[in-house]
Amino acid sequence: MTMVRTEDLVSVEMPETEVVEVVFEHPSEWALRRDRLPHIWCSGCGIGIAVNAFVAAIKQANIDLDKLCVVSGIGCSGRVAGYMNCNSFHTTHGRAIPFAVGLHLANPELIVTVFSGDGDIIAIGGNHFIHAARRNVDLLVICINNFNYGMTGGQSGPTTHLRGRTTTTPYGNPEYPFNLPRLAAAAGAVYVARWTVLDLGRLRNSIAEAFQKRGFRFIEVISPCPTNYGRRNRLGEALDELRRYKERTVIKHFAPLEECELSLDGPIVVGKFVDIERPTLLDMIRAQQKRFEESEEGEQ
Amino acid sequence: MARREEALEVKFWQEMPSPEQIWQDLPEELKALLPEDWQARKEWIFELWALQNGISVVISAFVQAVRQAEIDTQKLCVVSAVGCLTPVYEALKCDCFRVHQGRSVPFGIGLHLGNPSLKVAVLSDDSDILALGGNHIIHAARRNLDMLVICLHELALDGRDEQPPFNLPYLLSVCGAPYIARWTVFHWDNLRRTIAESLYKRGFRFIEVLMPTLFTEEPSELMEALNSFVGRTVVKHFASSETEGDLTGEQIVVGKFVDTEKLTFLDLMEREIFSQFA
Repeated sequence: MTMVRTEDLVSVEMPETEVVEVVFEHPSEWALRRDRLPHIWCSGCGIGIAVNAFVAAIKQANIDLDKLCVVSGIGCSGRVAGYMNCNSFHTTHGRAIPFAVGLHLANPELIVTVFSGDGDIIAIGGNHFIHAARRNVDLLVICINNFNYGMTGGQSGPTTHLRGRTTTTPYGNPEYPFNLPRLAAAAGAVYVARWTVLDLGRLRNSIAEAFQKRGFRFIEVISPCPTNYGRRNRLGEALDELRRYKERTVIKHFAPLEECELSLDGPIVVGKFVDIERPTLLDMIRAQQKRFEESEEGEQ
Repeated sequence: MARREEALEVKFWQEMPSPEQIWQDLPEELKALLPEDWQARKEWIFELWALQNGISVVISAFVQAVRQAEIDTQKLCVVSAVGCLTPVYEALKCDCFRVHQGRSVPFGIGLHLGNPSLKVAVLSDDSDILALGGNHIIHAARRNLDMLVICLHELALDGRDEQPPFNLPYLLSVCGAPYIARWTVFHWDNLRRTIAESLYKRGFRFIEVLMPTLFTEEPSELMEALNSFVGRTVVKHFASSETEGDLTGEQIVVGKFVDTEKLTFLDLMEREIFSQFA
């Protein structure tokens, strides 16, 4: 290897050519709104990875962007709807699922997806969540779980680990956290999966698989929050957190859901936990309508 | 808990007794708990006991259980919300609170955290606890707050419910409640014993009371439906709530589902936070 002095390079005469502008397009750009970017997420946040997997899954499942609706609530992951170049809705805090139920019932042809965080879906909208799962409304719910309310400054939420330190629990969290896949399965969801943001390909395949199913589908995505949760719990930088995922993740499909509890030091059991078939809300309503019409004809 | 061996049969009162007759038939334990001016409130006594649904059963079982467990009624708080069990706040001579619909559980949480020496009981029905306040109850069960929740769950017998009902013991056990039981309004004695037992437990105790409802004007049809409902119930303790707790199946499993010990919210506060300053 020889060093070249810059004076030598300047003397070389370049032939005059036309300037061709090469636009490098990001592989996910076809589904994103370029004018809304750059995004607001901190460096090291896992939500962008989840969005990337979501966009790749849309391509993999051949979903028409005109038919796709993305509904988000408030929070860091509530921004996802704003960046998606489809029918996207940014709703009030906790009300992403009821808004999506309305969309679905008004126009059942739409493919309705709820993309929001744990503070939105489970904390304030927990009742909507369990009731939508019980009714088996035809929705795909992707819940980004970063164990705290990231956007508002890292307050504790219903998924914060026991002894996890946040802004509002500086001496450790005294509450037991929710086991989200188990709650969804108990409420009646037909498809329940959990992945970390490190399992990018598996997450993409899982979302693409869930697009093909009907009923209430729930995917929990465990994401690092290095700015708030990781910093207060000494989890290191974002890369350290991803390394922890690599060490602690156990892939176990159809695992007994009581084994899937999350703790600060324990293993993270990921995989597809529930995949069943059940009549959806719309099926029930149509069957009832049919019965009613038949009984009316019989009476006449 | 003793298992009831004889077959249950539902009796139907064709004629409603007079309020004076109801008062004479009331057990002494209940009379002691009733307010002094009961005679001025004849209407609700009549309503309470003449209604042929499960409300009077739940209230009387609760009163008898409080009596049996020898709970100090000065320390007992009963919270009820808008719904079928609203008369409870008039019926009992202890601290009763009637609050907004859906907010009985958070009100009880506030009472408990404000004065942990109180025994807090929430008596309400599914429209309050489940429909409107479903989020409050799953989060209270997750935190394992020290309170007793009795939920009257109305089941439609004629299949009008197009949507499947919640499997409540499973949902609450997933949320982490350490004591879960289920009875119907026809298991009065078992319900009384369970409430008396749970009044001495700690943590989030949940008792579901199934009440069948039927919209019919024909008494014989009603009796037939109720008897077939009672025939479907099977008493089985510590059954798996996931597989056997379903209400849509052929048989309805009643009994005590979960009875474990678990650190409550205040225990964890003591262990995790206050210990750091000791």
